[in-house]
Order: sequence, then structure tokens, then C-alpha cells
Amino acid sequence: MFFSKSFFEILILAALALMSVGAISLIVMLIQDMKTKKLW
Amino acid sequence: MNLRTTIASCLMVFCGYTSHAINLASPVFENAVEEQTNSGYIKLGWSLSADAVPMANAQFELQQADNKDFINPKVIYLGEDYATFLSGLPDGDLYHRVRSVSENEFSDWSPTVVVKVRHHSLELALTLFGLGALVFAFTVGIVIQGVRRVNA
Amino acid sequence: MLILLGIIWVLLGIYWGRKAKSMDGFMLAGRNVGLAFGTATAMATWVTSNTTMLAPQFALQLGIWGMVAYSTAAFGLFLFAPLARRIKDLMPKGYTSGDFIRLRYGKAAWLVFLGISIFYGFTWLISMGMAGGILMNALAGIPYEIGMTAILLVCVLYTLFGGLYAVIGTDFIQSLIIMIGIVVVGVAVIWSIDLEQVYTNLRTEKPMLLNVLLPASIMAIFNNLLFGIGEVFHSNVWWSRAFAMRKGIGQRAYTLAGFFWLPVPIAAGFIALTSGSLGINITSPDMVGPLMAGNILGKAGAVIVFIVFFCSLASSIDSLLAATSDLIVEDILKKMIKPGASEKWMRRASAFVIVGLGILTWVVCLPRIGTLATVLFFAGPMVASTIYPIATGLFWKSASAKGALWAMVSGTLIGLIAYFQMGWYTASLIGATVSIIVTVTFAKLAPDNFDWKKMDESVAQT
Repeated sequence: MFFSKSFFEILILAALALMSVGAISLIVMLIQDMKTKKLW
Repeated sequence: MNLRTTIASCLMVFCGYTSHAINLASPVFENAVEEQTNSGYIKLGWSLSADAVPMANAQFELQQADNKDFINPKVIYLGEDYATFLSGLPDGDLYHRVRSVSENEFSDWSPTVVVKVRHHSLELALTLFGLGALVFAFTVGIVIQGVRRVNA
Repeated sequence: MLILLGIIWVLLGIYWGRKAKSMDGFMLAGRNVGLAFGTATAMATWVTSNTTMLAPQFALQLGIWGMVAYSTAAFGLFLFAPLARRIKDLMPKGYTSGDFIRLRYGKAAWLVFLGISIFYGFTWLISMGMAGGILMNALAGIPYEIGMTAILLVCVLYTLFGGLYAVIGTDFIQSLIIMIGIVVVGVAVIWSIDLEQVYTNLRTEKPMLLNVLLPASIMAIFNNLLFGIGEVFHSNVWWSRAFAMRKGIGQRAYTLAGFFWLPVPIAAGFIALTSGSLGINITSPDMVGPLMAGNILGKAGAVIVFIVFFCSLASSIDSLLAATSDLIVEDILKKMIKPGASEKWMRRASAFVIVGLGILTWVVCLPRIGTLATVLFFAGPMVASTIYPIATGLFWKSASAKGALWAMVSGTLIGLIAYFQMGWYTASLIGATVSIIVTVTFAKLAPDNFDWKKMDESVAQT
């Protein structure tokens, strides 16, 4: 039994997509924290 | 039997070397004559004997076959490195030999290394998987139940 | 490049260091860290040289399951999230994970715990110092000794000047660089190769890597997961972040960090699987990640990869330096040797310990022994055996000191036996299994009745 080609591709693309979302969220959170002066 | 093939191939290397000494030096595997792996990966390394003069543009050719006579061999590496890493191998015996190649000259083949791939039994793997799943489930349970109890 | 990065981090360290006037500031960044910094620091610290180097190695050795197995380490962060909140509630004035074990279980368990903790912190530090040297060598041709020395020196300097402020501040920048860098490299790789061809090549040349039932990787999955949970649960690296975050932030920050971390091993690891279809020879599996990135993307790729690796190393080395020195200063120097030490004395001791740790790591890294995985996996059963003393200790009144002590001792010993008898991929699993059985048995048969108020030392003392 083998992992299918589409699983292989989706796994990799999903990982890259999730990482991009992560990077964007970090920046958004930074801006929010700076606005509310709750950085530290 | 393995010993015999080793001796035979050693003899071949030796004779080959003495009969036409201008030839390229043969590489020799650094692995044991017989290697076992139960995870399907192994590193094959080779070297030239210390007194061999390395030739410019010399490359190594690594062959793999599923029989010790190398009928229908596959060239799995051709290049200047002194090792290659194999992985994802299925169960079975794989025979390997390596030689030096420079333009149209070839050295003799190295002694053969057989890699015996015997993956762990699936029963053992699934047992450990099951045990792991159980321990993990309990861990999650302890944390969730703990949070609930504290909040209550 | 290396010098430039080094200077930037040290300057940032000095800049943020000016905030760190008190001991709370130096050790715990003022206990008021917000969501953005909190999430980023947890995520960046968990992205280590192991994520960026060992994940490709896992992919190459153990295939698709190998990458997924590595990803499961994110559960360490997910499960620690509720713990972070509980820790902050129970011990608003706590400093280290050692404090917790001492207050909760007393001296014997504390000593064993410190032993495990410091051994783990130190092996992690060494494995990363070595990884740093090896990487600099592979990527930029810098001699091993110089690369290793440089990265350790930079991290020691900025941790020394800025304390946890510098560590967390640089972690934010580093985590952005890591995430963007990996995405850029990943997208560029997908652009320049054909995934379909990669798959077909794997299917014929390395079929077991795509096999759903590859036994070695099935075994690795939960072993890796439990190792990850053990690392996060016990290590002061994570506890000090829980203490440092503002109240109400910890749980969300750790959960988000888990989600951001989850894809990293896959995004960084799949590159290794393209080696076959591109005809690139791998001579040593622990170098497959950087080798492939350099080969596919050329010079620009090598520069990005260099920066990403540097950040992933620095973000963990700094955290370990800070957290391990906290553990030594707070738990050993203050609690064992010199109770009632002044803040000034502690601050100076911290500086000495950070420098000392740096030098010690440097000395051990210099001869370059052993492969990366083996050094660290040795700590697997040890940390896995601390999971349940920590988890039940935080939530169950009935968890007892004897249970914790025996769970750690027997879990470690039996786990280590499994390591040598059955292989590294069983060690953490066996260690955790023994630990859970011992902890729960003691809690049920000889329950303690712990008073949670004892956890808050600031109240107990006044």
C-alpha cells in the first residue's frame, strides 16, 4: 500500500500554505500588539 | 560461500592489477562484505588503497543487482564521491560493486558487498504504534481532565 | 554574511538589554510578554537545527511517514498550552521548572529532575553547536571550528547582554526569517522541479519511502511524539516562557506556535526526497537538507538557507543558554548553595554561568564526535519519563513525591535499556510508558493530598 501521488502533493503544498499563513499572522499580531502597547 | 566469492574477487583484483599495472586503481568498499538493515537504508562508502595515485577526472561507477553474478545490473551512481546513501529499499538481497572509470579506462570491480534488507516485522511495528497511541491518548486525557477539574 | 548577522544580533541584544534592569527582567523579560512575541518565541525555539536538518534526514530515511512523524513534535506545544496557563496561575512568581518540582515533590525528586534537565539542556546545546559548525562548513566552506565558535560566541554575547528580552526579541525576527525563508525555498524548489516526476522516481527507486506500512517509520511516530512532549513539558526553556508571558497569553501563544510549527518539518523535509529524480548523490544523510537546497537553488538558495539555518540555530541556542543558566543560578546556586543571595549577586552569577556554559559547550563541540541524532536521542527516555510527574503534578493533588521520583528513575533506566536492546526508536516510548504506569499507580495506591497554595512562594514567604 502506497501513499498516492495526490496525497504527496497536497501534503507538501498544504505545509507551505500553512507556513505562509503563520508568517502573515505573526506580522498581524505584532502590529496589533504594537497598537495596543502590549508588546511586553 | 560469501567468503569464497570474496576471495575470488580479491584474487581477480590482484591478478588484474599485476597483469596490466597501468590500469586505474580499484576502489574497495568500507562496508562489511555482508550488511544487514531493518529500516531499508544504508550508506555505502569506498576508498582507494593508500598507495594508489588518484587519477584526474577519475569517477566511480557503482552497480547494483539483485543477483550475485550481476546479471542485468543497474548503475546507481557515477561520480567523484566516495560514498552514497541508499534508502527506501524493499526486502531482499542487493549486490553492489564499484570500480574506477576514467574516459575509456576501467579498473577491475571491487569485491562485492551484499545488503540484506529485512524490515522489522509489521506486527512489532504495529504493537509499538498501538502502545504509543495508548500512552498518547492517556496523556491527552490527563491534561484535558486536569483542565476541566481546575476550571470546575 | 556570518559576521553581519552576528553583529546585528549582538547589537539588538545590547539594545534590548537596557530594558533588563532587574532580575525578573533579565531572567523572565519582565513577565509581561504579549501574544506576538510569545507565539514567535515558542515557535522559533522549537525550530532547531534538528527541525531543519533532521527533518530532511528523516524524510530521506523514513519517507513520508518520517516527515509526518517529525511533525508530531508539534503536540509538545499543543499539550503544553493548557499547562502554561496552569503554571502561571499556580506560580505567578515562579522562575524555573526546577522550582516547580522542588515545591511540588521535595528534594529527592528535585535532584533527579535537575540531573535530567541539565543533561538534556547540555546535550541539546552541544548538538546544536556541532550542527552549527557542520552547517557553516557545508554551506559556506567555513572551517568547522571557526563556524562553531562564531555561532556560540554570538549567542553567548547577546544572551549575556540582553537576557530573556534579547532572546525573545531576536526570536521574533528569527521566526519570521525562518518561516519566510522556508516558504521561499520550498516554493522555488516546487517551481524548478516536477513533483509528479519526484513521486514516480521515488516509486521506482525508493519505494519503501512511499509505503504506508514502512515498519521503521510506524515505530518512529509515537516515539518521536512522546520525545517531543517530554522535551517541552520538562524543559525550563518552555517553563521560563510560560512565566514570562503576560497572564492569559500563554495558552493561546503555545497553541498558535504549535500550528505554525506543525508544517515546518514537511516543508523543510520534502526537499530531501527530490534528490533521486535530480540525480544528486547523498553521501551523508544528515547533510541532505542544505545540500539539496544549494543544488537546486544555486547561490541565492545557499544564502537563504544559510540565513535560515543560522536563525534556527541561534533562536534555540540563545534560549537554551538563558534557560539552563536560570536553572543553574536559581535552583543550584540560590536554592542549594547561597540562599538569600542579593539580586546583584544573582545577576553577576547569571553572567558567569552563561559564559561558562558557552565555554563548556565549545570545548565539548571541538572534537566533533558522534552523529547528531544519536547524541540527542540518548536524552529521549530521560525526558519522556518526566512527562507524567509534571502533568499529574500540575493537576492532581494525589500525585506523590515517591511516584514522581520512581517514575523518573525507572522510566529513564528501562527506557535506556530499550534504547540499547531494541533501538533508539523505542526508547522514549518505553520510558514514557513506564513513567505513566508508575506515576498513576502511586497516585492511586498511595495518594498525596497536596495543598496548591504551597506552590506560590511569594505568598508562603510573606
